[in-house]
Amino acid sequence: MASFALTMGGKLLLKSFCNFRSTATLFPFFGLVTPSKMVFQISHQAVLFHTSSRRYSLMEFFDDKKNWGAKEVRSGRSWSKDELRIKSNIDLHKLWFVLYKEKNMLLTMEEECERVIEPFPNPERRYRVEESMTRLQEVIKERDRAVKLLQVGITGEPPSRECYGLTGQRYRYIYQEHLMPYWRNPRHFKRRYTQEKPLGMMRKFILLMQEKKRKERWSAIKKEQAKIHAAANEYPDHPFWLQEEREISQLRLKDVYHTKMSD
Amino acid sequence: MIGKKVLRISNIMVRLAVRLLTSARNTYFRNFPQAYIDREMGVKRDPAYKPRTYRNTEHRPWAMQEKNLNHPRNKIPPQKRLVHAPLPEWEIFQGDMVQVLVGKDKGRRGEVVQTVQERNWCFVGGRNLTYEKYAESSGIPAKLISKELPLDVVTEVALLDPVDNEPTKIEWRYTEQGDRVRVSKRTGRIIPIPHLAMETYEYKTKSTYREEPKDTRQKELSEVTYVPTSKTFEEEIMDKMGIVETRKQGGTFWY
Repeated sequence: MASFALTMGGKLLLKSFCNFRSTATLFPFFGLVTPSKMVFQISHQAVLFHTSSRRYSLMEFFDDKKNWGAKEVRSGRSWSKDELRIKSNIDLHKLWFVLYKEKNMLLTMEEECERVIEPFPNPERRYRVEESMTRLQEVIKERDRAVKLLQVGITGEPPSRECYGLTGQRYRYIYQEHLMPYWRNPRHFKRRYTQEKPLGMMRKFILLMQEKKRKERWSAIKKEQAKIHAAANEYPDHPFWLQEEREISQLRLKDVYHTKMSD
Repeated sequence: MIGKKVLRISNIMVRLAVRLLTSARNTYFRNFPQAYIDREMGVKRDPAYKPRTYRNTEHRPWAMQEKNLNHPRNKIPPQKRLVHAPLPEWEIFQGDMVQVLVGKDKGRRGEVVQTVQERNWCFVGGRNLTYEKYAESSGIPAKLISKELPLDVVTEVALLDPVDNEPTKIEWRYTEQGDRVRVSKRTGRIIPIPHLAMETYEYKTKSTYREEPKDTRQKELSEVTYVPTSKTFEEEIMDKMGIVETRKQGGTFWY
């Protein structure tokens, strides 16, 4: 019994998966072809302007001709992180470009459909590809992080530190890469948005901000309580209140309802 | 420019017509990316734009009827807030046989056609109907069209026990295999979740999904090719491609 195993971000036909050429043959013709010959030779040279084993030239930017003007182009779901984690780095490297090309193709088709004022079928395909690509990057980051921690003791992320901004709010400042040292950089000394302590003049503002956030947190709980009490008044005989051991005032909305109810 | 704008609007209507004509079950598009649904609904990122109260309807969240109801102009005052019966876990799915407990169709049974979880609603096919007149003009006689009204899942509707076709309460329990199932409290019989509830835009059932040309096949998908090494991603790719880097990166400063 075949299980639900459709993958769109895969975009890999068996052939291209196995025959991916590691050395890209990009731009071989710029040195050979003179501008006057470009017009006649472009169809021949364009064949070399690709890195996959399928030779469709620049038409790879467009969808299969069957799908031109189609009302619906079905596709599978995006790659999940667990499915990406079992693949080697080389496979993920290939997959990245396959996804990238698919994304470019979809963007081209969307733009073209807008130009000729036609409906673009199934725009969610692009969001699925983007989802797959972000997950792929996260998986690679996980692996690199683990390797670096074992080998060197660093995570590989840029260094950062806690500091305070001009409003007195605490945040994590991420270090930037510079070509000159800080003692030679005049802009470094002018920078004021990374303070060690909150500025004295922001004292009042910070107190008011904390008060506001405290009130928001408390009022959110009170709003949930109001809804639960209203439900208890409307449905006092419901077996839920008898089953529940806690007091009504201790309950939160997620204990009483399955999702965030509207209103 | 005006002509283009009109054509653009009609383009959007045609694009969404495919969605509107399809089933109204709320889980039909569950495999769609959330970013796309947010775009269609017009959800804004800034919390200041989020409405305080959102009223779900039987229509799609990107449909005009729901958008009009939830326009920032239409504020719902506290007196008109909804009160729902407590329901920690959703029990009634599309395709279930239920009995109506209130109203004109009290005691009659039917199939659940649509549910709206945010409002504890279910629509039972052919039950609890309302009739609307469509009188186009004076010459043509009025036409009556029937429509199902929603029923509250907790109080107004009850699941039927397949053993004796009588209304019953249910419990969630585990089978010996480890599956979570609904069990009737009165008889102890398992009430399976209907296939109709599992249907989505992509497939009717997972086993009958038809693979598209760009889908990765199950064999390649489940193939484990990862072998952990002490190399980073970059080093592995460089080794594979035969790239040798002997230059040292110039010193940069981080601050």
